[in-house]
Amino acid sequence: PLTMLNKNNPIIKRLSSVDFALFIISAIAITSIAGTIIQQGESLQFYAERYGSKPALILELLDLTNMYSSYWFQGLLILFCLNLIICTWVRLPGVLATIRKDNLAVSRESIANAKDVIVLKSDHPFETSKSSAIPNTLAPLSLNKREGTGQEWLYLHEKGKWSRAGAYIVHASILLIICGALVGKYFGYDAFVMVPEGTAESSVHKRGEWHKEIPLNFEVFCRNFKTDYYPNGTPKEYRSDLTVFEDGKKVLDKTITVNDPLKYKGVTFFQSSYQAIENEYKLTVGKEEAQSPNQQISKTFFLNTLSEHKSDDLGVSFKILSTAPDGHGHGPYKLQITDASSSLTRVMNDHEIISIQRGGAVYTLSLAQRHATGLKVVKDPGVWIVYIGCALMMLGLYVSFFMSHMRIWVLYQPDNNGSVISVVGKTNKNTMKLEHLQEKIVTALLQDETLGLRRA
Amino acid sequence: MESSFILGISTFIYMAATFCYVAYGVFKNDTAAKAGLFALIAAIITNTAGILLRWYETHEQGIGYVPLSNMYESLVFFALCIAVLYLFIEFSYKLKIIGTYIAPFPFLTMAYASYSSEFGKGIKPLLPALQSNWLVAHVVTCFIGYAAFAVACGMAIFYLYKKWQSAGKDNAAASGLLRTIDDINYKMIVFGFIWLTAGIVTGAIWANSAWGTYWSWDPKETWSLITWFVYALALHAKYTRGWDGTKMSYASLVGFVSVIFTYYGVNFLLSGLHSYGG
Ligand code: HEM
Repeated sequence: PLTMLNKNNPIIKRLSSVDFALFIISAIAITSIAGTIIQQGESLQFYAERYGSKPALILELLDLTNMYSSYWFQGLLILFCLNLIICTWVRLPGVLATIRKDNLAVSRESIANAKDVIVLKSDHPFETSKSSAIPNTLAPLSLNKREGTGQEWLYLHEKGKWSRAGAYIVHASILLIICGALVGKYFGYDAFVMVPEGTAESSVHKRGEWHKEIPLNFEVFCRNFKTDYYPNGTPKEYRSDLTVFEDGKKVLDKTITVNDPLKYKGVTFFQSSYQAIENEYKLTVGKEEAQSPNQQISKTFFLNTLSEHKSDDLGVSFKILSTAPDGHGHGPYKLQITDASSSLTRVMNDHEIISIQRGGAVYTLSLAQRHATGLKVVKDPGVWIVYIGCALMMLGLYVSFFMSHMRIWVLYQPDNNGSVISVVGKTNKNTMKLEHLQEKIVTALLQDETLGLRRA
Repeated sequence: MESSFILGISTFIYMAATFCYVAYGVFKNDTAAKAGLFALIAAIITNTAGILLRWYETHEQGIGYVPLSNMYESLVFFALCIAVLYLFIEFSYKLKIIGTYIAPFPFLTMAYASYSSEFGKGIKPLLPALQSNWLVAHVVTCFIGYAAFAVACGMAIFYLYKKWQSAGKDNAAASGLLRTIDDINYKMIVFGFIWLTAGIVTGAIWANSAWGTYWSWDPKETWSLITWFVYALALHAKYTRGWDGTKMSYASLVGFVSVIFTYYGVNFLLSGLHSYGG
């Protein structure tokens, strides 16, 4: 079976070819269109209503209703990866050899007879001592290597060897991103939990498999949920005040909003939705004693309309006698407050803050609907791999497109009684830059009077 | 003065620039090209002023967001990107005839933005998910990329027209021009590809910070990936199969159709999750 892994094996050859890459990328692009036209992940009934029952069955059979996670689409992605891996495996050695190649070790004839060679001639005889004078003339252009004998000297300006690796950085980054996605898929989860205000949850429900509970090993407590609106009524912000408890101890407080999640122990909690809890209300009470105004106690209670709530700390009990007449469970509320001596009733609107003075203490009260905050809970240990892949991709694209492997050879040789300099340049891209640099070298050489050169 | 008024004026100046450049294309009159360049610069200044004023207006209304958050605002920015990109090209290639094929793009974009009734133009508060700096980075990078693809598309049209016009003739000047157009087309595809990649990456980071998934195969994401694939295909075919100017021009056209679909089609022809548009 190892003989299969031969670069001349026809299957390997086919799989490594760029033609196959063109085919597979086109296939992925074209099939992807289907998934943007057909709504994904709906029920068979939905498709039957929209397309008729037979077409719906065909769609279902071809997995076109969940195509991005279907076997055939994943198969295409696997082929794409294989193509990329095999292509790299086949070509990388050649590229590394090109990078490592000693470009001074070229035949002198190939320089002197190159197609685009620029020839400069001089009546001054060839002198070995000029071997250092020439690179000095060209000092700012860094002819970084030279080699020669009494018969000739060859200089090389070489830059950007490693830019040849650019395409491979991009290709590797694609594989890295796919690896990151797989790590996320197999070692992470995508879950959801509804946390009513004033309660804590220690497990979450996996998406798509709601019965499956995933333990968190810590607790997420929701202190408060709030929606802010713009004056025109558009929601401005959804906000949950969360607290993490571990082994019964408070670990951290965090207020999350839509773009600012809570992260704890590799698990991220996103503000995702909310729900009003029917017939439950949140009462916030502050108490301030007249003698010691700095000692404020603040408490939150959750009440329903059925029973009275007694607070031992405050020595007061509360009861909602009624909500708005429409029966939709919002304000104005009628709240009954009872302490040791007597009871009184107040009418209050949602979130309205009212103050009551009783027996040397000031109470501030506010009443509102009780909510549960909907948290999307994600564990994705692969996301950093994906991000590193993305950064690598940007780097690789920069290297592939903006850097080039440039070589300029300058060959100094005797020529009958005089001497001759041949200048040859090569690059894998950006020929304009090469020509510009070449021209600079030629101009500098021509200006050196001790060489006495002229264009041939 | 309101920003929409200033942006409306810039539409007319873009129209004037288009008119001059097209006149240059037809009559080869140098004064027309100079007037076109002058008008284009004026339009860019007005366009920029309009965007900055709109930014200021959002703050005045107590909402305060970078005006790149809905269809109208992104189109206005798109027009500006194309015009600025063109300016760079005219200055580096010293070829005014290109303007004949590029100037209509910012003009048509602005005209569509100003007169379409498909989307609102008002300053509206942002939904919570849209309040993110990653979104700003996402829109900026995507639209620089799209602008480059628009320029490439203009070059592709020019190339195919010139090729058709000079068919059968052995004309050194025409083939030199064709090579330059092909070069600009290719460079713009490369430039756009880098920015589109950055756009997809920043979009993924934004999605992850708002919803906890960097990729969910929603139609908008999928179409941006399809567009990315189209250009990747063109680049590989050029390197390895030596696609010539004609084939690269067709690729550029297909790519730009895909860009338009990503941008317009998904919002108005497909139903997606993207809260953009409308
Ligand atoms: C959509 C995904 C892909 C992207 C974004 C991508 C990107 C690139 C880039 C940026 C280059 C550099 C071009 C240059 O040197 O100027 C390149 C070259 C290349 N790509 Fe890809 N590539 C992709 C898929 C593939 C696949 C699947 C193959 C499989 C055969 C492949 C084979 C090649 C080859 C052979 C080169 C030339 C490499 C060289 O210069 O040595 N590419 N690619």
